[in-house]
Parts: sequence; C-alpha cells; structure tokens
Amino acid sequence: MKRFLEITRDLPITVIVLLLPVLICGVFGQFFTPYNPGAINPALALRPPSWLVGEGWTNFLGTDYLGRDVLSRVILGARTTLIVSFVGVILAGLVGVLLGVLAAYFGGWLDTLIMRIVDIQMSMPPILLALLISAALGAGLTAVIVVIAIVFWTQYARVIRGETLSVKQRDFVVMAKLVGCSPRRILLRHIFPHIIDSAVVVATLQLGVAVMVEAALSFLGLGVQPPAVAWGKMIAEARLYIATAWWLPTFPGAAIMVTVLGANLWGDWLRDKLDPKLRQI
Amino acid sequence: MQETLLWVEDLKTYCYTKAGVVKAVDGVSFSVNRGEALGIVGESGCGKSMTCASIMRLVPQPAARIVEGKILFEGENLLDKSESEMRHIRGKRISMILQDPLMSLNPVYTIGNQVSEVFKLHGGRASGATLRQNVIEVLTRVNIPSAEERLNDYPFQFSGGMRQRTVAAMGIASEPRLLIADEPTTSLDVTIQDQFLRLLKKMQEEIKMGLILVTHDLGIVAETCDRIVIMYAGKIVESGDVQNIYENPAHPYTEALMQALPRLGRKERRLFQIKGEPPHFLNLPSGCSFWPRCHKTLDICREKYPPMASLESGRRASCWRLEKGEA
Repeated sequence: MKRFLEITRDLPITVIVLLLPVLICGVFGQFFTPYNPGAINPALALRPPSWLVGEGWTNFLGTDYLGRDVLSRVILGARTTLIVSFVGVILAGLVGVLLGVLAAYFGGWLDTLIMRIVDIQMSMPPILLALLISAALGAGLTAVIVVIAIVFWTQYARVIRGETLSVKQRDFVVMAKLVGCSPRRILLRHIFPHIIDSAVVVATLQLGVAVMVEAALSFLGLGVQPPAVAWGKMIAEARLYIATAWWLPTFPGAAIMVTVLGANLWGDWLRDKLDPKLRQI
Repeated sequence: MQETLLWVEDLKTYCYTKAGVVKAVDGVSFSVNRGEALGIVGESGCGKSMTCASIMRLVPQPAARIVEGKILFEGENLLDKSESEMRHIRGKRISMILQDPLMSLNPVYTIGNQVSEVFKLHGGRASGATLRQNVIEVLTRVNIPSAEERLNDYPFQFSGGMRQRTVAAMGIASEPRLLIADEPTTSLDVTIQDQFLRLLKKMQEEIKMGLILVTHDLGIVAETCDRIVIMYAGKIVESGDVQNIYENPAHPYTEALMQALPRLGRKERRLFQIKGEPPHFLNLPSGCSFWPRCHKTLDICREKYPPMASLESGRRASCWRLEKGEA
C-alpha cells in the first residue's frame, strides 16, 4: 500500500487527465459513441450543441452540415490520431536510432553520408516534404504514417548520434573491445541501454508534433479517407460554416490541443525523470 | 634461455592530425618472455599507452595507424590478423586492463553479468550453474569477499579497489598468456595499490602469464617487474634488468628519473626536477629528442639521433655518450 502511494505521488497528474480520455476514446470509442458517427441526417444538419438550446442530451456537441453527430465523430477521430502518431513516431524512432547509432559508431564515410542526408532533409520545410510524399504515395492511413516516419527520423538520428559518440568513448566500451566483443555485441549490449532513454524522450516530445502533422495533412485532404474520421478533416469540412456554426471547428480543434498539450507535458516529465542530473535535486 | 612470448620489432604507430603527423610510437622494439613481467615507464604522452593499444590492435582509427613493424605473439604476427581473428585473441590470449576502475565497468549490468561475459565469449558454451561457479571462482581468486552474494551487485555498490579487482578478474578469466596493465593503480590509494600489485604478481605466477605493466611510478616497477623499458617521446631510450638499471642507469634520462624519486632519509628541501618539459610531438628537437633537457649534452646530440647500444647483460641504451665510451 505504501509503495502504491509512493508510485502515485510520482505520476504526472496533468498528463493523465489530458491523455487518458484520448486513449480511452481511441481504443474503445466505437462502443460508446452516442450516435453512428457516419449516419447522415439532413433534417438535423447544423444543429448547435444541445445543452445551449435546452434540448438535454441529444447531439451534445451539435451536428455538422450533413447532420452527423460531432461528439461521436470527435470520439472516433481519436483513433486515427493515435494510430498515426504512435506508429509513425515509433517507425521514425526505429529508423532514426539505427542510423544514428551506426553513423556514430562506425564514423567515416557512413557517418558523413547519413548526417548529410539528415541535413538536407532538415533544410526542407516538413509540411512541404509531407505534401510531396503523400502526393507520391496517395492519400490514406499508411501514407500518413510513412510521411511522419520520414519527416521525423532525422531528429532521432541527430540526438542518438550525439549520445552514442559520447558513450562510445567511455572506458567500459573500450573494455568490451579489449575483452573481445564484436561490434554488434558492443552496440546492443553496451551502448544501447545508455541511449534508449534519450530516444524515448525524443519520441514523446515528437508525439505532439506528429498529432499536428497528421491534423494538417487531414486538413489538406491528404490524410485518411472517409468513412474514417480525423480531427483535421473535420476542421477542413467546417471551413465553410465557421461564421455560423462555431462548434464545428472548435471541438475537434480542442481535441487536437488537448492531445498535443498532454503529449508535450508527458515528454517534459519523462525528460526530467530520466535525466540523472535533475533526479538528484 | 626462456621462451619468447611477445616480440615487438620496430613498431611505428603514427597519428595523422590536421597539424601534422604525430609519431606516437616511433620504432619501438622489445620482448616479453613467458611468465615474465616487463615495466614500461615514461612521462605522460611518451607513447606508452599507444604501444599497448597497438599490441591489442585497438589504436583509435582512422586518426592513428600502425605504419610499420612486427608484433609477434607466440610466433604469429598480430599485424597480419584479421579483425575477427583478433577478437578471439583479445580477452582470451591477451588481456588488458585499463587505468580507471570506476569507468571500466558498465553501470547498467551486475558484476556477475559482466564477468560472465568473458566466459561466454571465450569459454565455450558453459552456462547456468557451471558458468556461475566459474565466475565465483575467478572473483574469489582476486579476493572479492563473499563473491557469491555479491554477484548481483551493481558496480556502484563496489569500492574502487573492488572494482579494479573485478576488472582484473575479467582480465585473467580466460587465463591469458599475456596481461597488459595500463597504469592499473593510478587511481587507487597507496595501500590498495600495494594490495592490487601483490595480487597481480600472484596471479602472474599462478598462471605463468607474461605481464606488461605500464606506469610512471618507478617504485611500482622495482617491486613488480623483472625487466624495464624506458620510453621518451615515442622511442625507447633504455631497457634492461630492473636491478641493473636501478643501480646504474646508463641513459641521462633514466638517471634523472631515478634522482627524481623521493628517498627516505635524504636531507633535501626540494625534490630533484628534470628541467624543461616533455617535447611536443609535432615539434621534436633535431637529433636526440632529450638533448634540450639533458645535463650531459654533446655537440653531436643536437644533430643525430643516437643508435641503440648493447651493454653488458642484455642492457640496451641509446645515448651518444655510450657510443663514444664516456658514459
């Protein structure tokens, strides 16, 4: 019991309050949406949130131009966001960590090659790059994930390369060589455990950006296609009605904001947690 | 005549920097016999560590390269070996232990885990209980108290001396033929230093391995080694039996080093100091590298590097004075 209390004291409450609902909606959303999020009903189009007009619990966040329930769509949109940002960021992480470690450990031409690719890619505006890639791959869920992986791996590569450079100088790595370890063994066993927390921190900090990139691509029509729901797409569809139906862009926008804020705070918390210099204070 | 274990001949390891070529090891030749302890002594940056790194074939590439020479270990030239062949030699037939015991162990693995790595790499497929038994045995051998209970400790739970002994245990785990110890006691305090050296000596005699002890402490060499090599600016200036050299140093540099030793009962206010400072590798003086600091400089010293002269009982030194017979 005491141990349980100690663990709870360390938990990032704000992050949980912000992200847990998103997570629940993303995983179990389809079981508790009040209406079918795809059901079109022209008779009910552009209704304001029900609590504002005294209609009780019917369309709680209003309806869009086709009469679809905004609340149900916001709940279901969480899934797209979570899949795209998590899978994209993890994919980017795998590629970036691998290339960063290889560049730092082997150095020489391999290092130059990988880091110049990183430099070139980082000099391109990420949204432009994303547009190019999704134009080439066609719109859809997979395309968005690939875009995020391609845009984000460079950040990992840079951070991990730096970390690896400093770890590989340390005596225990030299000792491992002296004892006769192969490069693969040294990388996996002796270097990897020391760089993994940096990768995790980069991943959580990128999660927020990934959510925004996904929203932007959906907004531009390059994201998931109907009947799948995405917050960015909902905002895009609301453009025409912004002056009359404020609830259309507001609620998906708020959902994006909550998710990004939660992800960023989570990243900050993890960074503080994993930094031994800060831990001692 | 004893059997030669390691034969280093005319070894040259150069570092290629932007400012020029640093001849860190410049034509070094020496040998170690089976079961013999050799001390390599010199000031910081005279090429001692680079010599050891060259023997292990672990010079920091691509900046440094072994350009020339032979390193014959049990009759095989290590410089002809492929990297994967070297991996089977490192840790199995030649081991090396580093200066700083606090840094040589990986902080994220337990002591038992790290020591067993050596067995896993070189000791065949021993596993489970046998492996554990081997690890406990080798840790007990280096005097780790209640080794069995401490297998699951992390390096930070060990004291500096214990960590150094653990590193030594990793060094001798596969009973190597040659152990290279690069300033193994620099970061330990004097009592622990003494303990550790005794331990090294004991292990060396038990498994009849050759030992190369790199240090700048002449006292340690006197206690531990049979023969000694003195290096200055990448070259060997004198080599021979410890006894002979201590009693009658042939090279002025050796002489000066001996004088710089603090001695009990000597009435002096200041210790002797070699004037000047070690030369910069990119800007070595012409002729003998030691002449600007030498107290017996001849004219020829400024012009040509002195050849290695063979003296009595296997001693060698390179100084023009010996050459001219006016030592």
